[in-house]
This record gives sequence, C-alpha cells and structure tokens, in this order.
Amino acid sequence: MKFIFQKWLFLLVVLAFLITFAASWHLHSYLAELSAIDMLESTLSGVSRKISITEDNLKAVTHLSDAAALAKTHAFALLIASDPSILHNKEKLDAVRKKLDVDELHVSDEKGVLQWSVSFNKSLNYRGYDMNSQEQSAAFMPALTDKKFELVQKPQVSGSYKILFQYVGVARIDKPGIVQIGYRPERIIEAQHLADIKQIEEDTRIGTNGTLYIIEKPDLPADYKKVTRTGNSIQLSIAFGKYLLTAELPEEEMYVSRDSVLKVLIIGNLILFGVIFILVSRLLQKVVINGIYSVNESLHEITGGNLEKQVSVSTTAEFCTLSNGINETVSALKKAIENEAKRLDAELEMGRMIQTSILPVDFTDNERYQLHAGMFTAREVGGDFYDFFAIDKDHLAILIADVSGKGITAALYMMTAKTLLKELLQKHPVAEAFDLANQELCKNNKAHMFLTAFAGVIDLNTGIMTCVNAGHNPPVFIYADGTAQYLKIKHCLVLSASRKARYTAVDLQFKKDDKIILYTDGVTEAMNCSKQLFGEERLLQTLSANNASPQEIVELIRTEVSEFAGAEPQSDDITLLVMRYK
Amino acid sequence: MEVKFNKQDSTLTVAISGNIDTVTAPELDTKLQENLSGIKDLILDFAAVDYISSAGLRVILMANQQLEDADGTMTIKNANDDVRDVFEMTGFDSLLNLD
Repeated sequence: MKFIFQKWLFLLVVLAFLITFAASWHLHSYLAELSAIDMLESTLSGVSRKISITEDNLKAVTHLSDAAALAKTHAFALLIASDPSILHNKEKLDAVRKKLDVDELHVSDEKGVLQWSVSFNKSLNYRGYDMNSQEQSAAFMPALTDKKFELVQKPQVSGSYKILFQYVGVARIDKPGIVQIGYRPERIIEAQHLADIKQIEEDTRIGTNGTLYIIEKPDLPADYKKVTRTGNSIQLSIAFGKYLLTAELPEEEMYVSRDSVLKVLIIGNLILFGVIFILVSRLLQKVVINGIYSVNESLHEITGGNLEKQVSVSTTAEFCTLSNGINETVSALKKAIENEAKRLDAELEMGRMIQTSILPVDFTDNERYQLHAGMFTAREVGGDFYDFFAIDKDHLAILIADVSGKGITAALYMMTAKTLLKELLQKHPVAEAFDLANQELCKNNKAHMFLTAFAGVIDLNTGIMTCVNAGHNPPVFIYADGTAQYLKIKHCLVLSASRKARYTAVDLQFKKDDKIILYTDGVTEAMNCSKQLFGEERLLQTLSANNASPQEIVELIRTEVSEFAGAEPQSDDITLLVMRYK
Repeated sequence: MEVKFNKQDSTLTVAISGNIDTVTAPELDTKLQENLSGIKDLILDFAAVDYISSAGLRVILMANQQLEDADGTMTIKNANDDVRDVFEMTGFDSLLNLD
C-alpha cells in the first residue's frame, strides 16, 4: 500500500511540476515578447527621432547654403550694374569668381544667350549657349522680364562635369539679362550624406543580431503599426513620414532571458517538488500509513484468534474512531462467541453424558474375573469406547476401540460401531464378527471414518482368550508374577478401511491372576509441555512389578499420565480397561 | 508441514515433510485433492515425515481409495521406523504399498 501511495504521490508531484513548468514557460514567453516589442518600439522611436533630426539639419544646411548662394548672385548682379565694363575683362571676372568662391559665372544678353562666362574649367566655353535650349536652364528665362526674379535650383548632375552642380540666377539690374552663378554644393552633399537614411539603417543596433530596415513607402497611414512573427524572429513595423521602419529581433535573442530564468526555475522547482514529495510522503507515512499498518496488525492478531487484542491507534481523530469501532465490534463478537461457546459446551456436555451413559459401569467382582474400566474424555466428545459383556455363562467379551477423528461425527460413528460390534460378538466368533462388522461399516462410509479395535472373548473355564487386534495399540499383558509385556499379536487392518480386509484371531492362555490392560492412544500419545510423548516404554514401566487391582491400575495410569502432562491440556480421550483372571 | 509436488505425465510424486497430525492433515488433504485428477500413480515420499496421527492415516486412506477406484496405484516410500510402526500397528501395511 505504501508503494501504491508513493507511486501516486510521485505522479502527482511530477504533474504539478510539469504544469508549473508549462505555466512559467508561457508566462515568460509572453513577457519576453512584450519586452522585445517594447525594446523594438523604443528603438524605432529613436530611429524616427534620428531621421527627423537629420532631415531638419539637411533642410537648415540647404537653406543656409541657398541663401548664401543667392546673396552672392545678387552681389555679382550689383557689381555688374555698378561697373558693366568688368564683363569685358576676363581676368577681373575670374578674380570675382574666385572671390565669390564659386565655380562658374554666367551673364546673358536680353535674349537669354550667354555672352559672358567664366569657369574653373578653362577648357569649357559657354559663350553663345541659349538658356532656353534646355529645360534646366530655361527655368531662368523669366529673369529677362522680371527684375525681381530669383531662383535657387536643386543640385543636379551637370551635363558637362557628370557631378552634382547647383545654379542660382537673378535678373540683371542695368539691362535685361540673366545673371547666374554655378557651384559644386559640397556642404549640401556632405549634409545629404549625413542625412542618408541608409547610414541610419546601418548605424542602428538592435540587440546583438537585430536588424533595422527603412523602406520608402509614402502611402501608409501615419499611425500604421504592425507586429509580425516569422519563423525565427519577431518584427515591429511602424510608419514614419514617408518611411516604413521595420525592426527585427531573432527569436533566440528575444527568449534569452526567458531561457535563463527557466533554467533557474527548473532547478528550483526540482528541489522544491522533491522536498514536497519527501515531506508529504513522510507525513502521510506517519499520520496515515503507519496507523493503517498498526490497525492491520491488530486485526491480523484478532483474526488469528486473539480476541483480547485492542486496537489503539490514536494519531488522528479518525483513527481513534476507527480503533474504537473495531474494539467495540470485537468485544461484541467476543460476547457472541462466548454465548455460543456456552451453548455449545452445554450441548457437548449433554452429548458426552449420553456417550458415557452407554458404557457399562457395573464393575462388581465376579468369582472368575475382576474388571475395571474408565473413559476420561478430552474437552470435545470423542470416539473412544470400551465394552464388556457376558456372551453366555462361561464366556466374557472385552472390547476397546478408537474412532479416527473427534467431535460429533466421531461420537455418532462410535455409537453405531459399539452397538454393531456388541451385537455381532454375541452371535459370532470374534474374527467372523470383525469381518461382518467391517463389511457393515464400509457401507456408506462417505466420511472415510475408521476405527481401531481390540476384542477378546475369554472362556472363563479354560482361561483361553480368542482375540483380534484391528489396528489397535497392543494391549499389555501382566503375568501373575508382575512381569509386564506388550501383546505383539498379528495386527489386522483397522475396521472400515477396506472391504477386502480379513480378520484373524489369536488365542491367549490366561493363568490365575494374569491381567490384560487395554488402552487407547490417548495414554501413549499424551504430551507434556516439552512436546514429549508418554510413550509405550513409560507405560510398561508404570505397569511392571505391579500387583494392584484393576481399579487401582486404572487410577494409577490416569494419575501417571496426568502428572506427566503437567499443565499441558489433554488433547485426546483416555480410555482404559483392565481385567484380572481369577 | 510442507508439501512439494512433482508431476510427470500421470505420475505424481509428493514430498511431505514435518508432522501429519490433526492440525496439518486437512491441509494435506486439500492439496492432494487439488492435484489428484488424472493421476494414475501416486508416490508419497515420507523421507521427511516425523509423525503421522490417525487424522493423517485417514487422508492416506482416502487417497488410496481414490487411486484404487481409478485403477491406479499409490506407493509410500522412505517412511522412517516410527511411521512404519504406526502403519504396522494399524494394519495399514497390509493395505498400502510400502517401499
């Protein structure tokens, strides 16, 4: 039982451990995801800020650079207005270009055709270029008519240099014409480079192995936000201005904290559940199982026959109730058994009385023989009996028998056997009487009972006894001089064992004062407390050199056996018959 | 009392040890009855039997009867002197096959 309980407790604890583990796993996965999204969100908000700052910077730089360039163009226009002759002096014009720190100076006539130009690249000649001939330069054409015209173009790849170039133009003040400067917008390029989104993408760190993607996607709603789980990563995307920002974190990185927490948790839980298992197991062992074992032990003792045993487990109130319940039941049972035993005892006593009453007790001295007998029963009714009767005036029959088994069956069988043997012995010779009795007893002997018997019929005139021993203990013969010996005559089979059995008689010669002692195995098999048997040897010693009367001999054997057995209870009937031939 | 059975075809050898008395005889009876069906030759090995009472003899008698009814044989072997004395005194020696 202990193991069944421990098995279930173990399963329960393992189950609890698994549930706790699964719950922790889910909780920590959820938390890890939340914190990963948080982290991605804050990264993206940082990226947004960076983009916004960079864009602002670029705008400011562009604005400043554009303003400076416009101022230079206005200054150049003013210079021409104050001294138009400067246009015809190429060296002076180039000196002005250098002072203005620009790469090209152009001035057109009233038709928009360049007439005066200087460039940092001396090999190029722009004279005669019609500003209206290309879309980029045609943008400046309104300056011919609008005196207030001014235009700062976006940097564009120049057709001549294949590099970024920027043009600024205003109207000529003294006459119609276009005044234009051209330069390489290095600061803006630098600022643009700094503001390059790709740079931000590369420079931004997400965890250890996370990645940032910035894609231009102008048509997204401003509050666009989306969390995506791919096979082995988590992504957060938000819209910022014209960009879609996506931050990606590998799953292993996201769960790094969960995994380490769970490792600690598993170890902790293993210890915790181990301790719980041991404690609960110990506690239940102490409170319940030991109690049950103790109750079982007591019950075992009670069912083993000890009705005096009290169950006294008082570890818990339930056990107290159980103990009291069992004790009350046992005590009620004991009372019932005692009552029944009393009733049975009374009936057995009655049976014993009836059984004893059919045994002859007239031991009056006869002129030719002296006889005494006794049956001392054990607690139960038994199957021993003796008998003696006169067949005619000269013949006396003596008989002793022991039915196998004890109790009511043996007692009933004994009654039948006694009646049958007496009847047959009165009509037939001894051997024939035993043959007939055996045949009769073998009929319907379903219980397989049998009996040992010794019978002798003595001719009181001659002293010759014809006797048959059907498996019975050998009688003791005591000669007149006191010599005692066992009568080792032929032992035939016990009665009622086999229909095929045949009984043969033997003649014994009695002389004056010779005695024969018939007894049952209750004498020789009486046991003392050290499990020793009284035995044939001891019986012979008791009877040797004895000149006592039959009655004295019966009493002597009875006393000897009882002294030998001591406190050991008598387990079998003791039956004795002693006859002295006069 | 202890009883050991060894069955070979229709021959059953029963090794008994201890006392066969009023207390143990019913147990021997039950065990024999459980194993006797289909047995033609029953051998009771009495080498370790110390004592047999009339209750024990009754069990032996019943088994013997059963085998006789089934045209079989029952043999008792290795009985010690005390047990042999009991068989002789009760005339069982004329009824049983003693080896």
